[in-house]
Amino acid sequence: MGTLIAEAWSVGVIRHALFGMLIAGGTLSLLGVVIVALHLSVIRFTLMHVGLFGAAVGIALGSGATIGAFTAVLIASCIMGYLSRQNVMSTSSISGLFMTGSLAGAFLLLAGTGVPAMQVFDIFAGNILMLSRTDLVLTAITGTIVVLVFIVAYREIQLVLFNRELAILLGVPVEAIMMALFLLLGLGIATALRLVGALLVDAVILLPGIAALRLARSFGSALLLSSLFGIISTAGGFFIALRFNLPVGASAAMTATCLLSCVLLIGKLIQPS
Amino acid sequence: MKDFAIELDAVTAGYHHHTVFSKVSFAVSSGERILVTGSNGSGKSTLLRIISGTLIPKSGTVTVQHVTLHNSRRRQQTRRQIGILAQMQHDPEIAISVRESVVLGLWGTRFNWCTRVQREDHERARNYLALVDMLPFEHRDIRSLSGGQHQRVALARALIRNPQIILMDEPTTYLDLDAKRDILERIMQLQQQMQFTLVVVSHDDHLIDRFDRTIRLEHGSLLEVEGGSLWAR
Repeated sequence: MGTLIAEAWSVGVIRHALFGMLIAGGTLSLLGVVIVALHLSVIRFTLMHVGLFGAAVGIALGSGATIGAFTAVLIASCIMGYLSRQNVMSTSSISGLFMTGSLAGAFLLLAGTGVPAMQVFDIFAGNILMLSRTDLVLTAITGTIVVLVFIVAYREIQLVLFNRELAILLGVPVEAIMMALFLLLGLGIATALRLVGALLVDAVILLPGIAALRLARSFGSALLLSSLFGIISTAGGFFIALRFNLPVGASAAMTATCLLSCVLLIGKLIQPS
Repeated sequence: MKDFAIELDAVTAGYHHHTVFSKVSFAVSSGERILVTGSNGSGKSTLLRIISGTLIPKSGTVTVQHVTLHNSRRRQQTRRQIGILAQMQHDPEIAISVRESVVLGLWGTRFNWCTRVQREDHERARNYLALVDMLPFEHRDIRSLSGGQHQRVALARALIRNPQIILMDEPTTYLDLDAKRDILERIMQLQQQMQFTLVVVSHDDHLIDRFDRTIRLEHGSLLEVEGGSLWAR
């Protein structure tokens, strides 16, 4: 295994991929805590579908699937955040609208422009080994933004997650925080799309958050555990993929699934009767 | 001149294009205990948001502790003198200790974006938890408490700001009879000791006899003010 790692380490692409996975696992996983605590699972699922539409647009315009998906997810998260803030309709209705619209748009675009469907569906699988130095820098910037927001607005986010009505009455700018979290979510999903693909975004973002919330005794420990589980999932998945010549995204997702299963089991065993 | 803690003059309030109540006027004296009743959607919680300065009225004037809330700086300043007991919501998904949840009540006074929670804030939280007999539970996850215990902690959270005014949104909802009696007794006892102005919003009409006055909001307007000599339009 040591030789294998040493050999792999000498290849630039693999080094980039590992760094990318570690950064994403350690930082984007913080968003999982927010997704679970604010019940935003539907939103993140919608953003994945929007990514597909963006990929189709990107390919049709010649700017590439990844850029298209990234842009579409960011724009959609802004619009969805705005609509939810304006109370135009419920979050699930907004999600339904965007999810259906995105899928329909993607299929119509595929049919209308003759873009090969498989090229668009690549966005579902991602390609970590195609990660360039620029991609790596972008991932690091996104990760830094996510961490900084959680450091600067730690108590404010905690208040919103604890009791939104109390936060409003105390004067916490709840709407601005919600908007910022929507944007971060969009940014995080768009970044994870490039790494592990739409289908496996949950491995990096959601599952570590769920596992952390099962064990954590405070908001701070939930964030730390989520980050730790994110790193374990991505690093573990990466080395398993390397060792057994398997796809990286799927290996990371399976590691995250096993980790969450273990946490649920441990939680069940130590739960006081 | 009467010493009013809260004055609303022809206040119209709502969200976006929807008006919740219009041209509501009333005044609350310092140290007075006011109950605001009304059916669901009558604007009781909106009234609390207006008084706390977290919702800007569409028209009219709001004066709290002799300060007219016409700009954000004044609203922010005044908010520091107000303690909040928010409506009990479903249990949060995040774990939070009883003591930490009380410390959160200090947001906007002892800490905010720029300043962080200090050790003495935790000490202060312990003192207020002791006041409501919840100190032995300080390390417990708030999600493991009963409804009555939950509200006692919420009371400590409101008091920790050392406020001149306390606003309470449905403090007895979801509580059984004993817990309801207990929390009301504690609120009234502490009000007498500390002499803060108390505004309680509740749909529970049975609380009327515990307050100096009752204000009823119905169909977007103030219908009646019982048992008080103050003016109402």
